[in-house]
Amino acid sequence: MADILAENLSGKAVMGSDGTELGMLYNITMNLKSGSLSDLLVEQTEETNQITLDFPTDDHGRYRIPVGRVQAVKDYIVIER
Amino acid sequence: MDDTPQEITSLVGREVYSNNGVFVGEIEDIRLDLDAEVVNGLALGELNPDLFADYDTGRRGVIVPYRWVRAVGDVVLINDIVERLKSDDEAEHALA
Repeated sequence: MADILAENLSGKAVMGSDGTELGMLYNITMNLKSGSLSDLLVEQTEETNQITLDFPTDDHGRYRIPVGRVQAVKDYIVIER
Repeated sequence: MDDTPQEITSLVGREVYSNNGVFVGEIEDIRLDLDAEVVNGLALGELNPDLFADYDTGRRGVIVPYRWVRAVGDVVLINDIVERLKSDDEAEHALA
């Protein structure tokens, strides 16, 4: 995957590698000191709030998906699942 | 800087200064390397014209490598190498 600017990812749809719609990318968390990325924060949408995923959530109910699970980024962000 | 993960967009809008206190610019975007799982650059706008006058692209914006970052607080401090781009082959990183 090539380098990408964060603004280009904001609001992108997130899909599991099994084809499940997981939601929309809300933000990404990072360690400011080391610059390492930690999790994608994925927001549920009306279509996706029916399903329950085995990812932890933050205080606002957004899924925290480790950045290492990202397989591809183009029209969708594809998550290994 | 503590180690608690922060949302990357919290950086957007923060002012960037060199270690010597010279204003560099304002963070407009963050460049990510998803394979390496790191932030590898900060895209800056509202640049200090004195630092980037010699670069055509510097009028719009520059990307500085994240390894230059020394501190992140109310403002962001980066290595003062940014003041000496003219004499430095790191200048390639200044092309946005």
